[in-house]
Amino acid sequence: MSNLLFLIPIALGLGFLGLLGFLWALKTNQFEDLEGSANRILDDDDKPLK
Amino acid sequence: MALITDHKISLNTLEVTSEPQSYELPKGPTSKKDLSYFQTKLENGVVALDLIVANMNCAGCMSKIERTFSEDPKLQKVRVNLSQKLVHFEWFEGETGANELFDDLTALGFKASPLLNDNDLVKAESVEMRRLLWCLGVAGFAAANVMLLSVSVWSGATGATRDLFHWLSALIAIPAIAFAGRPFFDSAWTALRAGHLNMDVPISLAVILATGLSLFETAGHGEHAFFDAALTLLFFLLIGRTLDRLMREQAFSGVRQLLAFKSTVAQIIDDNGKQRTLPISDIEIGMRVLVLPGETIPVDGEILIGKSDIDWSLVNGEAVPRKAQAGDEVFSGLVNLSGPLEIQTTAVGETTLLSEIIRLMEQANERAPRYRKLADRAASVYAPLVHLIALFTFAGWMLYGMAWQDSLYTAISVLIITCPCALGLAVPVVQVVAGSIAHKHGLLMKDGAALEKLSEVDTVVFDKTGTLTLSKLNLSGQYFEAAHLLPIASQLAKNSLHPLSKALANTYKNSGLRESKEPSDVLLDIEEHPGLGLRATYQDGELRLGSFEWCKIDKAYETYDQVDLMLWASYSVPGEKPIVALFTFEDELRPGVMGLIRTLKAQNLDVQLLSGDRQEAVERMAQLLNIDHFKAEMKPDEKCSYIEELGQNGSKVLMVGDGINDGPSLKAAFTSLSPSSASDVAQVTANFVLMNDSLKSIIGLFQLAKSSRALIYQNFALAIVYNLIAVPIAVFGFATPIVAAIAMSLSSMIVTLNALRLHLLASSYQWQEDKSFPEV
Repeated sequence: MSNLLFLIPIALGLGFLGLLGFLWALKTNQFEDLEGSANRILDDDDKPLK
Repeated sequence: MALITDHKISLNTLEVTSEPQSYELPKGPTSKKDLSYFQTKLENGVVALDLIVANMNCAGCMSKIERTFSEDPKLQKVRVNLSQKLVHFEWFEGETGANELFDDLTALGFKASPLLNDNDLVKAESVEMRRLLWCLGVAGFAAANVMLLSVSVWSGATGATRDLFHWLSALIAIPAIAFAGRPFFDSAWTALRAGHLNMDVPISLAVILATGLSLFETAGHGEHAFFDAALTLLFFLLIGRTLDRLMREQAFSGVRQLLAFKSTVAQIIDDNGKQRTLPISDIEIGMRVLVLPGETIPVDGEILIGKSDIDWSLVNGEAVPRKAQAGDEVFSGLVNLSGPLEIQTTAVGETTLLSEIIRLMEQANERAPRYRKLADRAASVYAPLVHLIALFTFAGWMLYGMAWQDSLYTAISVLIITCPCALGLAVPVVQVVAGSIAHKHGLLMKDGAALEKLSEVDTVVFDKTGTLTLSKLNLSGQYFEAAHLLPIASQLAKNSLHPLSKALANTYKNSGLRESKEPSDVLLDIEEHPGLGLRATYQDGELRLGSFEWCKIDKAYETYDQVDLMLWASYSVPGEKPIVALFTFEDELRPGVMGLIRTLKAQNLDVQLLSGDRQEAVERMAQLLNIDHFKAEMKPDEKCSYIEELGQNGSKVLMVGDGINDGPSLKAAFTSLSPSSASDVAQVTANFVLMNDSLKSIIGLFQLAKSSRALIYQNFALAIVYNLIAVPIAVFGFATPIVAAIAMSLSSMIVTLNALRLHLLASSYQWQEDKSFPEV
C-alpha cells in the first residue's frame, strides 16, 4: 500500500509532463507547418536561420 | 465629360497621356502595385508581411528562400510555412519595405502574392482548432491515467485501496471533463435552447450523468465508477470532431491561397494626382481608380481616360473582348486587357452589378431546399431512440423493484454503451480521408456534405466560356499571305496582352520556329493602340496588326471580315502593294473535356450546356461535344431559374461554372464546382474548386463520392450491429465498465480502419495526373 503513495504521484506526474509538453508545443506553433518541418531536416546548412 | 489633355499618370516605366492614345509598352511585368498596404505593424516598431508563394513545393525552394533572405541584414526574421505556402517576413520599420521584398522574391523565380494579415476569419478558424486540440490533449491525458487506475480496480483492488483509486480518478476526471467536454456541452445547450435534439445531447447527458453517478458511488464506497468510460468517450468523440475541423481548415486555406491572387485592393489617384493603394471596400463614389492591363476592374464606373479591350467573359460569358474608351461604362469583375484605364467610380456597395448578383445568390439560397447531412439524419433517428431505451431501462428496473440508484446506474450504462462513438467517427473519418485524396489530386472540397450530395447527382450543367474552354484562344486558320507574315506578326503580337495577340504569339512559340536575331529583323517603334491594334516599323515598311480598318486593308477583302475571333495583318512598304494576312482563332477547350463528357454520358448522367455567349458559338460547342441540351444568351437570373426549375422537377444538378454570372446558379444547384481560374464569387460559392486546368478529375471525384457514400453506410451498419449486440447486454445490467470500454474502443477502431480503405479504392480512379498548383 505504502509504495502506491509514491508510485501513483510519479505515474501521474509523468503523464502530466507529457500533457504539458503537448500544450507547450501547441502554444509555440509547432503544429502550424507539419510539411515544412518534415522537409527542413533535408536542409544541410549549419548556420542558424534568422 | 472632357478629356484632360495634359493629365499624366506616372507608373514607373509607363507613361500615359490622354492624347495621343498611345504609350510605350512597359518592360517586364505590367502591373506594379504598391504593396505597403499589406504590411502589418507589430509592437516595438517591427513590421510584418506575409506572402503566398504559389510555386514553392519542396525542401529546396524552402531553403532557397530562407537562406537568401537570412543573409539580408535589413530583415529581422524570415520563416517559410510550407503547408500553407506562406513566407513570413519581419523587419524594423524603415529598414526595408514590402515592395522590395516582393521584388527580391520574384527575382529568385517565385510567384508571390500578398496576404492580408488581419483577417478575422482566419483568426477565428485557428482559435477554434487550437481549442479543440487543447481539449483533445487534456482528454487524452486524463483518459489514459484514469484507465490506469481502473485497470487496478478491475484486477481486484478492494476496500480502502479501491476508494482511494476512485477518489483519485474523480480528482482527475471532473476538471478534465469540465474542460474537454465544453465543445459538446455548448453545442448541446444551443440545440436544446432552439428546441431540437442533436447528437451532442445524448453525449452530454451520458457524460454528465455518468460523472455525477460515479461521484455518488465513490462517496458511498461503491463498487463501480464510470469515470474512465466517460473520458474515453470524450476522447474518441474529440478525435472525430478534430478531424472534421481539420478538413474544413485544409479547404479553407486552399481557398485563401486562390483568393490571394485576386485583387482585394485598388490603386486610386487622389486629387493631387498621386497614386495610392486602398482596399476595395474603402472606395467611395467619385474616386478615380487606375486599372492596368491584366487587372480586374474593382468598381463600377465610367472610363475617364484611356482606351482598351475589355474581357467580359467572367461577367456574361462572352468569349470575344469588347472595345472600351472614355465615356464607356464598366463593371467590377471585368478584366482590362490592353491599355491602362482611369475610371471614375459611379457605384459602390449595394448598388453595383456585383451586389446585384450577390442579392440573386442570397435569394437562390433561400429558395434552395435544405439538405440534411447523413450524420444529422442518422442522429435525428438515433438520439431520441437512445433516450427512450435508457428511460425504459430505468423505468423497467424500478418497476421490477430495484433500488433507484441501481436502476439509474443501468440506464447510464445504456447511454454510455450506445453513445455514438462509432457513429460520431463514421462520417468524419471517411470525409477526411476523401478530402485528403481529393486535395492530392488538385480538388478542394469545401465541406463533407458536398461529397454526399455529389453521389446523388443525376444532371451535370456546364457553363461554356472559362469552364469548358480555357480563357485562351487557338489559331485555327491562316489566309492569304499568312505564312509570310506569321513570324514578324507574332513577334509584334508578343507586345500585347490582348487574347488574340497572345494566341498568335503562342502559336509561333509552340511551332518551334526560331525568332531571327538579325539586326535588320528587329521591330522598331512598337506601339499599341488600345481597341485598334499594334504597329511597328520593320525594315523599310510599316507592319500593322489588328482590326480591318486599323490595318488599312484593301476593300476587296472586306467580305472576309465577318468572324469575331480574327486578326488582320498588313505590311506595307511605300510605293509597293501591301502584303495582307488574316488569322482566325477559336476557343481552346480545356484538356480532357471530350473524354469527360463522353464518360459522364456513358454513366447515364444528363449533360447540359448553359451559356451567356452568342447562339452560334454555343451551338458549335454543343455539336462538337455532342451535348443535346444547350441554351445560349442566358442572363444570370435566367440561368439561376433554369437550374431551380431542374431542381423542382426532381433533378439533382451539379453546376460547373466560373463566372460572376454563374454565382446565383452555383448557389441554386444541388452541388457545384468551379475551376481555379474562376471569379472569386464563383470560387467562394462553389462546393468544390478544381485547382488544375483539366476537368478530367471530375470523373475521379464522382467515383470518390460514390465509394465514400458506400463506406459511410458500411460504417453506420457496423455501428448498428455493435449496438444490437451491446444494448441488450447493457439493458439487462451485464455491462461492466471494462466491457463498455473495450467494446467502445474496438468499434471506433473498426470504423476508422474501414474508412482508410478509401485510399486503396481511390488509387484506381481516373484523375488528372498533374498535381501542380495552377498558373495564376
